[in-house]
Amino acid sequence: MTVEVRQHQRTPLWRNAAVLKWGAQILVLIAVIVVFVTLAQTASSNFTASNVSFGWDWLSDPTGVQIREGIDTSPDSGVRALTVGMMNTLRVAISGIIVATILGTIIGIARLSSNWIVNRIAVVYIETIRNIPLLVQIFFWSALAIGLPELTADDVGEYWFKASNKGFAFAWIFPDGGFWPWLIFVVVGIAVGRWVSKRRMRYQEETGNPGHGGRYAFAVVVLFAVVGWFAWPIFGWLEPVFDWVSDLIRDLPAVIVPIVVAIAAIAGAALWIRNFFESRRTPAGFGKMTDDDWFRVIFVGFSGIVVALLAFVVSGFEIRTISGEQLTVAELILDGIANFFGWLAGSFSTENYNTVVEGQRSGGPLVFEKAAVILRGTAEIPQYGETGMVLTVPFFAIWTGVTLYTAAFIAEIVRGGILAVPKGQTEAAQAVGLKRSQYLRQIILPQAFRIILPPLGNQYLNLFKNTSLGLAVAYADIVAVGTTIINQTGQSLPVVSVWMAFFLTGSLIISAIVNYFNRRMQLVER
Amino acid sequence: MDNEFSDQSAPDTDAAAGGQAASRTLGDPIVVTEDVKKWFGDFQALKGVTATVREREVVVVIGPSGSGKSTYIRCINRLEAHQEGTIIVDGIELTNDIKNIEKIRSEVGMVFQQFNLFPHLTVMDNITLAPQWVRKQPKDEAENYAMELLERVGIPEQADKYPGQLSGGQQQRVAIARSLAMKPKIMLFDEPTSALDPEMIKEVLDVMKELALGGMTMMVVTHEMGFAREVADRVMFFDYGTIVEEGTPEHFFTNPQHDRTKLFLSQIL
Repeated sequence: MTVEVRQHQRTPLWRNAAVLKWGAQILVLIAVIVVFVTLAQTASSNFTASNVSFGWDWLSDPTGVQIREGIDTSPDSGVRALTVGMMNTLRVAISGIIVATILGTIIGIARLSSNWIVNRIAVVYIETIRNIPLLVQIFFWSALAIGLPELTADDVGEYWFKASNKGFAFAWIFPDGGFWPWLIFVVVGIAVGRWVSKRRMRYQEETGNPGHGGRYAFAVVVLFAVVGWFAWPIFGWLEPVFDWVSDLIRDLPAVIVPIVVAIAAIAGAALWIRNFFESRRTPAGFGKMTDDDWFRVIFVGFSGIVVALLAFVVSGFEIRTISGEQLTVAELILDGIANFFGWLAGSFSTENYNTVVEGQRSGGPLVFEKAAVILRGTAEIPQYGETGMVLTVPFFAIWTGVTLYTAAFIAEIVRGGILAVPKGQTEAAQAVGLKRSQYLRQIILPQAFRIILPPLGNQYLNLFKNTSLGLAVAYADIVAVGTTIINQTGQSLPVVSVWMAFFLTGSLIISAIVNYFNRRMQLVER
Repeated sequence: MDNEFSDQSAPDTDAAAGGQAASRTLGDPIVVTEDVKKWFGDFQALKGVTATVREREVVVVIGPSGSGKSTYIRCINRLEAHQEGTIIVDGIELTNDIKNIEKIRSEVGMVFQQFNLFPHLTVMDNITLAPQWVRKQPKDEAENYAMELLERVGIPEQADKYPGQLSGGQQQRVAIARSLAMKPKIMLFDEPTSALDPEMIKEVLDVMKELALGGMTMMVVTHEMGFAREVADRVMFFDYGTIVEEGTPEHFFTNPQHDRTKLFLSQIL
């Protein structure tokens, strides 16, 4: 039987689904661009009218900003000051994320415990911490630390741990002159250890004798670490190599930077498009591309070309450096890469091999330092010395605040994730005779982790952004340092845009990492 | 009667036999339960169950839903803890001693209605996990035996797939292989075919029949009366937390004594 089609009429343009879809995509794109351009123009004309001029000179201008803690307490320029603030923010965020994850997991599991006391402790912790505003908690920790006894002249000496109203100081292990070459030994040791462990396992499978793979691997790693401890200067030849690379890069013509970026952008776009086409290929042949698909392909290709062109434009911009030179962006980038290799060369230097230089650290791979209280300056004020790890009161307050706060939420997420694994999984694991610790690790946690991961990523983002509350206790994070710069220079918009760029970049990196693991954890289904 | 599988020809004088089970020799008692009682809150699920299962015996447990039949076999490997009475499995009494519970669980295999395969592990890893962690078998040995089992249940080609990629019948057969990998002395089946399409029920029942013929001690909660009639040595009928009637399939299906049993059979047959 054949079906009669009533009439073959040309579809008018305004009823054609394909045309409408394309129109919508392009209209949205244009609208977004128009809104941004309008906003930028309005802002710029308003600023001109009110006689405010914005620029980026403050980045390289000498600055009077004094920073209470960080890699450089009296930075020579705006960009250096912001870098110190940025490092301080990252210090809180990264260590906070690690500790909050561990603490949150423990408390989350504790809340599921059938042990009444453990269970109640977890409940009280979670309910207290998550129901008090974070800012209040940060003030609390600050007040608590400031309430500790003052340092006096009697306290002068070395300590494993010391608490005072200047913060907490304790003994710590730091990387030292030979750290990077030693790390090569350790990494090679781990690789060899894995290989040995696999060999031992095969031996066990073949002969049935115990292989002790773990013990052998551990012994190998220790052996490499110990040998490396003394032998690290054999990598000294890397110093001139990296120096040579550094000089080579410094001598390159600056135009190479935009060329490399442009090639990378276009190659990246081409690769994406190729993979996209590949993903539409089925055993039956090339799949039908939807309008949406074509839009994506064109958009990516267009973006690649725009980025390539922008690379040439932007790399020509001139920037005044701290020393007063006018350098183009391309030259600055080239300089940065050369400096990196210079630093790499320096870290393989054997100059201070096992010699103790007065006032500096000894030239080994790692150095153990106790904390110290010393008298500083002509006024002989008792203070923590340079040695050991010192946590200032603001750091302690913001770090403890965001970490404990986030841990409470992570605990609930972990609890929910574990409860979301069907009960049958536990029963099946028990039925085959697995111990509790075994099935938690092999069956329950891997499945719970899959559920936990997306909300966990949200908590990481929250923690990262909440570090900006450090401003309230005068912690020298990027926001506090930026505020000082705004007060000194009046350049609010540029500084705020640096903040925004920093937090946006950091958050996107966290998201990317979490998404990567999320994809890897996906269950395989048909 | 189908005599195709009757390769074990030792006569059975001890237990009254039904179906083809006549060809199996029953051994010593392996599961002994005495006056087992179990409450869920106010509700008493088991009201004193006394029964003995002997080596190589196949016991089918039937009964209406909520009668306590699942609870009973779940008590035997301590997925539910009984509150009164004694359960002795392979000479070990089930108490709060964790060591005993783990020992018994590694000797008793269990197959669930909902398969409960580990979805994040391949079929092969599902099967070899427990032998490696509990029996401390080397990986090679565990995998070789797993392949053997997969061939026995008829799906060796699925070894590297994930449970989500298999059909229900295939999943249940993997679950049986997973239990068998621990070389259990007893297999418990908790409604193994209730979640399956009719077409897949047969493939699972066939595997279970093979097992029974191989001399495995089995306790099976099921509604498959055909299976009970064909394979069981003994049928237990549960209602309101007690064994109302038990006997050979022949006795049970042709000459039930108890009114409740008659009513139940008239509704399902």
